[in-house]
Amino acid sequence: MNTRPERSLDLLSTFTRRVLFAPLADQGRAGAVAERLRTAISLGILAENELLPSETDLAAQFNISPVTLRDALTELRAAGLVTTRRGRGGGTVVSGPLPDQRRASIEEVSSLSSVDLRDLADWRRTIGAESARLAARRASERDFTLLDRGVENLENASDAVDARRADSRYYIELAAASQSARLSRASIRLQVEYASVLTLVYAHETTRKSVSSLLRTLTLAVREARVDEAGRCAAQAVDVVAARAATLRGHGWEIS
Amino acid sequence: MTGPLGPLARRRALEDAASSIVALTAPVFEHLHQMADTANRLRLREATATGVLPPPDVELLERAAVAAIRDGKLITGAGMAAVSEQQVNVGVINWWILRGFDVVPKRHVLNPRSDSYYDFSHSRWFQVPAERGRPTLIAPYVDSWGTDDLTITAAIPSPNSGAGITTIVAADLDARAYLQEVEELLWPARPAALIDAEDRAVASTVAEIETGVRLTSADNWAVEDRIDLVDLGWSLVLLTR
Repeated sequence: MNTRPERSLDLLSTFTRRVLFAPLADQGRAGAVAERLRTAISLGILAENELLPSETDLAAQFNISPVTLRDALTELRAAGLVTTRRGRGGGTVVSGPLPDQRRASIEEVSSLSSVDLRDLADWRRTIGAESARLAARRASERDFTLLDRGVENLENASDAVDARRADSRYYIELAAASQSARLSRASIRLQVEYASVLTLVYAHETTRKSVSSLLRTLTLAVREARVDEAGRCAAQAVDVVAARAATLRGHGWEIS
Repeated sequence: MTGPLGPLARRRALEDAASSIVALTAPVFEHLHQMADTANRLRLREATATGVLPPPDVELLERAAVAAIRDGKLITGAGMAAVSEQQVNVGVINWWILRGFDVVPKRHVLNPRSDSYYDFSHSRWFQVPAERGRPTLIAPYVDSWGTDDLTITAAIPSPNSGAGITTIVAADLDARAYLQEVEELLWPARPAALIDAEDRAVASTVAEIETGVRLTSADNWAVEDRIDLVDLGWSLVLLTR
């Protein structure tokens, strides 16, 4: 057994990052890599000053050549989205979000059909409701505290990006409280996949308040081990978001 | 369901299981005490203010963490986290994990505006031993944005905690391997369960009492006898219908 130098620093063992940097189905395209990273930065999934994995590790994770990855990073550098520092302690860091996150979200969701949206909501309802039901049986005092903080973060969110992040973290905490590693991973993957929809939905303050109110009731049901009610509240919260998303899509995603 | 043993023999089997379960993690806590001694020599006041441990200190800590991971058969990761008591949102964490046959440093994301943000100072493995002021074994939990897997964490507060800084050294255990061993140790005393401080099952010999579930929700079962594992903050119980 050996320890490795900093070159092998583990920056991929967080599942969110493994989802973000998952291998591309269409190999060898620098544009596809740049697009995936651009979307993650635009939606705030990757935050300003966040260090990306080394070029070697990132290319291996995307299943592309280091040359292709460098082409993708060059494209992102030219757009001002990442900065690369050379030397010890260096690496590629996120420079900042796109100025128009709403526009980036619309570009991301524009290809979603009504069936795609329904399918995503169905999956989200399944993961959320079962996480809630299991959490009501298995959650600990510490989980209650984390879920309470999650609801507060959503209630206090000042914009769509903060609200999207608070919602995402709440559902991941809920899945963690179910004590199921598989549900947790499914939830993380789903939150990344649904991020652009949520960003657009949460531009609407009334929707944010409706969902946070339901999540407050859900958290209480989990705390009091009311299994069926916890599942029902989770499903209702998902349905509020899905209804708003369907309305937005019907108006070309342009109403605020 | 009852086991093949009578009440006295089951009690003896439970006592044997208690000794063996404590012995399972005793080497882990020995390693943690050595890591705490190391942590006590580090420049943590500076590190908690800047979020960065000076390189010579990292090397010292790494040696102790690697020794723990290499020698402790259940350990999959180990490290140290510290926060200033005045500014709990600023702190430092250095962690190493087993990846294949190598031990590599793990870099957590500490930017609150990132989706991968690891809010370690609010994690149970940090808060519970800090509050108890003594070695603690954290019952199985999913460590979101850390391991992202079901994890059991052994943790102890470092003596540095007295100087305006809360310092925890900790080791993640292979939860599946640990639970497998505990289930085998419990089997002679069946029906029996290992429960945490909240009376939630860590492991049991009863199918419907799965890991994580509150004992009170198992309507058909009552506690017949109980042994407190003071060092772990957990208990072993004999069950009866």
